[in-house]
Amino acid sequence: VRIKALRLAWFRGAADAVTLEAKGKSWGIYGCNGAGKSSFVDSIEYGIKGGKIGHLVSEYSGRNQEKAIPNTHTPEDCNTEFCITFQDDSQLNVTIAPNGAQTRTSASGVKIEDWDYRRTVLRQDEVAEFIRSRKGEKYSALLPLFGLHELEVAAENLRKLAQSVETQAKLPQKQGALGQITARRKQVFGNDGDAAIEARIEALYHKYCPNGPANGALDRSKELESALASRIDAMTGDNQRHFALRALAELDFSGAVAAVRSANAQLADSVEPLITERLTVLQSAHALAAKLDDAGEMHCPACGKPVAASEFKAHVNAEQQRLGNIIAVFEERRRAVSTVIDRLKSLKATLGKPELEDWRAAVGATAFKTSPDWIEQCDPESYRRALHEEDLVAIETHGPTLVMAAAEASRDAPPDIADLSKDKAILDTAKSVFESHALAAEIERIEGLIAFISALAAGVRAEIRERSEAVIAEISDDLGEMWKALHPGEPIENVRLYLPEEDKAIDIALRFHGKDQDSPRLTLSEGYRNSLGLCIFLALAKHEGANDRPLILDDVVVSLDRNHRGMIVDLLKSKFADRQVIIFTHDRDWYAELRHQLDAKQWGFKALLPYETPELGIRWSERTTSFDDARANLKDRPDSAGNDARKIMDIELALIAEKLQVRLPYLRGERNDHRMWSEFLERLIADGKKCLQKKTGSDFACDTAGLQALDDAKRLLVSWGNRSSHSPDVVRPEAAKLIESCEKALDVFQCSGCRQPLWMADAGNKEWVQCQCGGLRWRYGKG
Amino acid sequence: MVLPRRAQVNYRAGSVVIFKLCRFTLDWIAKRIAEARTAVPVGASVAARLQQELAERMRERAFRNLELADLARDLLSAAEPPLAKDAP
Repeated sequence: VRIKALRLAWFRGAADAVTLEAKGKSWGIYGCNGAGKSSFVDSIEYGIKGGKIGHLVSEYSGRNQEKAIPNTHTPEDCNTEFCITFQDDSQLNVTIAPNGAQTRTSASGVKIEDWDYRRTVLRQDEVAEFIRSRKGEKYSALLPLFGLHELEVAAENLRKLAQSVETQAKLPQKQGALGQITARRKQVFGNDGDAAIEARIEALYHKYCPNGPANGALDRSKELESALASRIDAMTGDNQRHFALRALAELDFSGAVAAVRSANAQLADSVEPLITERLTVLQSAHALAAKLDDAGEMHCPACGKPVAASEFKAHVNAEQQRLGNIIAVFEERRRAVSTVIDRLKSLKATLGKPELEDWRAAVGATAFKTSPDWIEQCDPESYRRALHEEDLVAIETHGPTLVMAAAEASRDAPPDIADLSKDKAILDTAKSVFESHALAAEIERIEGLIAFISALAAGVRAEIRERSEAVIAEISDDLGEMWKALHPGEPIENVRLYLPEEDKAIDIALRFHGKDQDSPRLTLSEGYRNSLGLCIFLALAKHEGANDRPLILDDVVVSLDRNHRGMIVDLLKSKFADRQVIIFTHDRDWYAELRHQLDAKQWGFKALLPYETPELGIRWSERTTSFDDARANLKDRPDSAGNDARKIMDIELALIAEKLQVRLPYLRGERNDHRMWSEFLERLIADGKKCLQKKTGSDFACDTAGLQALDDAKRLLVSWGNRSSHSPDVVRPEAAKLIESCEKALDVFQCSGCRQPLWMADAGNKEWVQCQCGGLRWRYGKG
Repeated sequence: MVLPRRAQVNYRAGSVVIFKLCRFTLDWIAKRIAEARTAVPVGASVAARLQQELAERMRERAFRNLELADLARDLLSAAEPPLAKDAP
């Protein structure tokens, strides 16, 4: 759906209503800097984005951009508003209150909110920004255009869901607990398998519960536990004391503390370089902050370190590997700390038993008297939060002291007590091993769930990649064609979008003088990059063709030279002839080229007056040429006004001469491109005597009035135009007369009846070219 | 439903519907779930729940943390029975 009209009132640069009567046609619109071109584009963006304009986003523009969108001098009784009328006569009316709140009314019909901004509007800064962006940012920008946004959302949700399952299920903690049991199993049973452990429990079961009914290792362990407890309860006080002391004597504090120290040492080894690196990053970040982006480097998301793009992948892998090692050491330390805590708890619980009261008092009377007091005050659980070296020293001092004392005191214990104590230790470990099977199964189930969600996410990602490749292949075909059209015969070729190996990335590859390049940033100049960005936008926009939506280009040729600007005209003619294209430009020469080269049946041209005050706002010039730019200088700088008029004639007359196939003497190389108005005008006057004819009644006759206007312009250009270029001696009336004369001269080549140019149509044979109504004609090649 | 390639590309505007038809049909989701289950067997209830989420809302917007936590809890609960018994 095309745009029929676009009306602005007190919106951005506009004051009283100003309307672009597009009538569904394509338009070339000229305006010098600040004339108000972008205000029209802003209204389209505001409509598409539901009330936001990207380039106005800043801390100063206000929540609803209310400080930036209304004209600064909007009278109290006027509204900030715009209206877009579409080809089907449906309208979008937007009124914006002083606080930025918008009121939208739109009849059923076109929903501009459904339009894709990136396929509708292209501004110069967006071209440069896209090419400069990283491949991840390109991916984010292009993915919605490929129609894969929903798949991306689903894949990302699945990834986060897998993380959430891991957190909810406390998977790392469960894995840690299982690891602790496995370590204890290894200590007690070595490399024995489950069957061997079950056999040992079965043997103990027959020893302590000879007639027991239990089946299964876990049930037997539980019954055996009760049987041993009953047996211990039934023992004499002396034997109970011996049993408790044996239990104390079995505690290995030295090994547990050594394990914590070993893990601490490993951590220190791993963490120290990490910290050193962070400090380096901080120092270098400070120095590089201002230029990192420009230097083509990227910040590693794993460590924050600036790295060259080519090294990024390898660097991230190394970081992940190193962090993986550190995490493993952390887990190992956590298990070692848990072991120390468990042993301290056992020590404290055993020491608290009444049967050891006398022994505790006896130890208190020896050289080790501080140890019982220390263990009584000790809070083992507090070591989970922090276990410092001084704590380890205290544990190492008091724990083994009490263990040794207990071992000494239990040396004369009866043999059956020693056996009972040993059997109890085997039973406790075996029972935890049997119970851990359920824990292992739960971990397996959680890991299975996570693996399933991850597999699903990977499947969606594979689909995204497959679809992206298909779309990219199509767009790349168009991109390549457009690049060739803009840069024919140049040694930069095979330009295409591609998906790098990693997910969520898109970049542009090309062949530069025979060498393959992974990014345009490596070799292309700014002008070429912008040209490439324009090609990508146009290739994407071409895929929008079925919807017949307008294509709006705002000053996109700023950094292109004249040759390439000319090619864009060809590209628009060949690829977008069936689309409504609205081009805004401040490039006077290019605007003149557009006017002369694009088909006047499909294209309209308008010029904006230079901006004067917010109260006057945006105004259309009554003419399609850009002489109003020159007029704007009449008051303060008449010499500049005269010079502008001369420059306009340089380009306009060159284009007219080309259209009319006027023959000029051969000039070699650049001199041919630097011809001035005088050469063209003299030739046009000379040829015009034979070639320029105007219809009078039913006959054609030489357009003598037109030739006189050309001659008048020539005289004034010689005397005042040239003087304006070299000195400030031209006064205001002279410059005004010069401008008027130049305008009249150019009007000669436009029919006063149909208002179409002289070269609008051929006159039925190859010899003549004429305007639309046939009132004005030119005879080719007869000069 | 098989659509011409160009129609799939030009999915936007009126063709949002085309996108939904060609990408997020129940068949498409069921196929994805089945493929993932081939790689990693899970219970039918977990598969059914995820299928429902994909069909109804998971593709439409990024989930908030609370929603993710709720869904994760549901899935963990649904995955409670031993996999060997619940697997297809």
